[in-house]
Amino acid sequence: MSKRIGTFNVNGKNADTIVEPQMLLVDVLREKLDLTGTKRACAAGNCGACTVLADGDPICSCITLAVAAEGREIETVEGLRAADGTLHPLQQAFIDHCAAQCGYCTAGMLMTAKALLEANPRPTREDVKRALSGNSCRCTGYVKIIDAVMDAAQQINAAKEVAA
Amino acid sequence: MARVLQPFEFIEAAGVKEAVAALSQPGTRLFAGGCDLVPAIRRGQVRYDTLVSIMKIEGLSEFSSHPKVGVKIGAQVLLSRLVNDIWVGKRWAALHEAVEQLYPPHIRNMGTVVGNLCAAVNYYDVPVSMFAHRAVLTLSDGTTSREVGIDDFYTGGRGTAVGAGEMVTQIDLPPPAADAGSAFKKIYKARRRADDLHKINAAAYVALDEAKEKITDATLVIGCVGDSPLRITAAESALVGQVAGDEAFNSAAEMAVAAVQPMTDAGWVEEIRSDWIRILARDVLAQAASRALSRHDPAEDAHLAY
Ligand SMILES: Cc1cc2nc3c(=O)[nH]c(=O)nc-3n(C[C@H](O)[C@H](O)[C@H](O)COP(=O)(O)OP(=O)(O)OC[C@H]3O[C@@H](n4cnc5c(N)ncnc54)[C@H](O)[C@@H]3O)c2cc1C
Repeated sequence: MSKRIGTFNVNGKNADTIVEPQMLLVDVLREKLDLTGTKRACAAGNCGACTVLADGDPICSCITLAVAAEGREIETVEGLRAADGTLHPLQQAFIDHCAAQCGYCTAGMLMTAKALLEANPRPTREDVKRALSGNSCRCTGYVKIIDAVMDAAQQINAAKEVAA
Repeated sequence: MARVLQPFEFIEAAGVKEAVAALSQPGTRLFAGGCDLVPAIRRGQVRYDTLVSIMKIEGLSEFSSHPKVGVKIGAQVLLSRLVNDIWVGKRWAALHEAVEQLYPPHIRNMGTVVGNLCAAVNYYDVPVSMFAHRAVLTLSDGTTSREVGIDDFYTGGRGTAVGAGEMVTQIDLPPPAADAGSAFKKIYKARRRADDLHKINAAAYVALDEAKEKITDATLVIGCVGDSPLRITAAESALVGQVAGDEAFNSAAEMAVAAVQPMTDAGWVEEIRSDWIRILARDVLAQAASRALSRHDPAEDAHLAY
């Protein structure tokens, strides 16, 4: 398998693009599919800025080969808000709590938090800390980020109760 | 595009035979999750012409755990599969802790258990816990297979017992004794200077007699002190027959310190290393023993028997 057209399922849509085996998922997302929300920082799987979800689980797109991600359902930060433009409760909570300063880690934080809330809709602060332990933030000191995730969990649960 | 990897070919093998056949070409390497390979290629430490992915091979995703039968881990099983497994948590606690404390958690969703062992990196955590649980690896060439105990798996440097034309297809952990416990711990900190001590990890398995007093069997393993995890065999045999308590564990910890060869010239590094080894050896033994003691009545497992 060398240069060829690959099909990626990103945010529920299939996208075709030319891939080579040595391309990393983060580069295909950013450079080929124009999804620049996903950031690349340490490029070694340590900091979490490049976090995307693959079949619902957080992975580091900076050390994932793009060819190995074909056939998996990839979610990036661009897929968080609703079709009508309404922000995801996590995104809204990050704004409300001023949980971002430079914003470079935010996309990764949001994606890891999304996976957490899907697996555990009522997390404790400790659960949030553990889940986000692979996402580094060098600005905020994490308190507001954790506040935001806790708040988003409440919002999501409240909305579910209203709907039920 | 920033910082691209060196070009290589990528093959998705459909079977074990096809995967190992492809390996006969020079410059070819097996590829599982890529957590070890991709960063190494990026850093320029290794260079391959072809990577052969094993993730599409059928029959390598088996995972099972049963307190009386053991744990089976196929070559495609991701580390995350072990984290929430109730029996691994209860009866293979050292393995559970090694995976649970693996940082960052994303890696658990990407890397395989087998890849962690086959990478043969001396500071990884999972191999240390596998020594404590006396893992057995199955190596296959697609037609015949052979079993290699973890004690014989590492052959020095980053070498393993995996021969040309072979791959690891499965790891088996034998069931622990009825009154046995295990534990894993690590101490690590940021390395500020090249000769700084970065990390030590340790794991232990302790089995007690029926009265839950004396040790009948023990494994003590220290990692990050050589090419591969080091079993402290002197301590293991000294522990057998002793009452499980501080006295026995402290003297075993001293044996662990004595068994590790000095690794650097800097005296202060050796001093810290000895302290860390002493603390870890004592604590993993004590915790393994306490888990062996607090274990519920084996009769409660009766419904799980065949
Ligand atoms: C940022 C980061 C942090 C990490 N932190 C920790 C940590 O805290 N503790 C810890 O223990 N580990 C840690 N790891 C290591 C990680 O767990 C391993 O790199 C990973 O599990 C390797 O599995 P893989 O499937 O990705 O292997 P790959 O990278 O695909 O392969 C690794 C090696 O094993 C060989 N191989 C793979 N499968 C087989 C097979 N079936 N038969 C024979 N050879 C095979 C490959 O050829 C290659 O040489 C970390 C890794 C990263 C990137």
